[in-house]
Amino acid sequence: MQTKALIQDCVEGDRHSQNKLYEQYAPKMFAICMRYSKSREEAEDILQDGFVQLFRSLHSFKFDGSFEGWIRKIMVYTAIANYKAKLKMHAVINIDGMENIAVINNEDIISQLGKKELLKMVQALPPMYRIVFNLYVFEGLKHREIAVLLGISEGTSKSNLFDAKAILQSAVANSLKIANQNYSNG
Amino acid sequence: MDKNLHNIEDLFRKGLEDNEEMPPENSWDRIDKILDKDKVISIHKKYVRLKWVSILLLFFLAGVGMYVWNTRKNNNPEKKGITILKKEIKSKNNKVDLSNWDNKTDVEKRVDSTNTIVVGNHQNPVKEIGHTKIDKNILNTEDKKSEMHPAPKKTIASSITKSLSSLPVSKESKMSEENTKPDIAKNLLNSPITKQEKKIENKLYNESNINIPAHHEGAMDVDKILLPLIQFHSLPVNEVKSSTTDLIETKKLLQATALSKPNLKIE
Repeated sequence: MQTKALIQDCVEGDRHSQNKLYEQYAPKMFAICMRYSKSREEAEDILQDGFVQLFRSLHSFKFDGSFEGWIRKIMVYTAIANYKAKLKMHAVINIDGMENIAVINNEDIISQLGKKELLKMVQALPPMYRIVFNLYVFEGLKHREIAVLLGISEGTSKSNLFDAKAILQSAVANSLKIANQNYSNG
Repeated sequence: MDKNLHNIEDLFRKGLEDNEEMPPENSWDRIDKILDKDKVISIHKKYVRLKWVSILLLFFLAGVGMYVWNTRKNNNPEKKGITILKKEIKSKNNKVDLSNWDNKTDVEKRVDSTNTIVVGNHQNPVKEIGHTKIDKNILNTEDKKSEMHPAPKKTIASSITKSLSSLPVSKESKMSEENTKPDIAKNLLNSPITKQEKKIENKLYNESNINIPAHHEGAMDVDKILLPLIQFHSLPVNEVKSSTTDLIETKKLLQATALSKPNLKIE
């Protein structure tokens, strides 16, 4: 109910309410932006563009579904638009030297590496891989939907996801190796 | 390998799903500035629209003002009267300008090569096909005029004479007519009747059984005028008899006859 009133005030252009809404949702949305971007600066740009777009189109929100889900969607679409704008600037990365990691508990890895380390791995992915990985893993989209959204074929989407996961697997393995070495040395 | 990959998905989902990251402090300021720009642009757009609306309103008001001014101007009683008069004059001009029919010199009467008599003024000639037709308007106007202003008989006579004499006559016909016909103008304007005329007059009246009053010097001026003309134009006496009672009718007949007289070569 409070969110609804806040949204109504934002639609009317009340800057204070807009600031409140920003403060309420910015941390979650910034984390999403970080996953879709290469760097923090890029994530800031996506967040900024996303919130501007949000306030411009807030009048079209019909209160049918979750407001957070709606904002999240806006952020993802903004990130995709940002990726498409910079598409020509992205270099093709060759994936070689993949390393298998030992099957260990995910909780242990997370505790060993930390969330920031995982985020860095995702950010280190090539842009297309990163977006496909994010859309598939975090947004729960199917390859057909991803293909339509990005303007690629379904096969490309599948291939990109496979490559992205392979890179991440290699990155996790390397990080675990380094962490284990540090632990044994220390 | 596949299992490891699957685990990778779960690993990252669990690790980053509900992650929160505080954005930089200046992030909101940047958003705020962009929103302010949007507001300024929207206000600017609003004012641009307002400008156009005000311009259109101004034109509309100017139009309404002009309309009201024109309506008032036209509704002014003096002006209205003038306008009506102008319209009447215009409508008259579209027909035949009959207002100056006293001045016979303005009237053109001519017969073209196809024996068509054209009667009218310079601006509005009225074309009549045939020999004896005369513009009814002219005759009616003459009637009206005579009814409204009964002119002295001599004046009517002189006008008829004038109208006849104003007709351009060819030299040949002039020469021949000079020998045979009596001087109409002389007869009309100089009242005294010659003996010969008196004889003719009596003869005609005897033939037509018209009672001639004893004192027809004044009252029968019409006869004085008409009889020589009747004689000159060789009109049938019975026709004249029926029409002599009405001076105007006679005049019409004479006019018509004079115009259609084949002996008179009218140019």
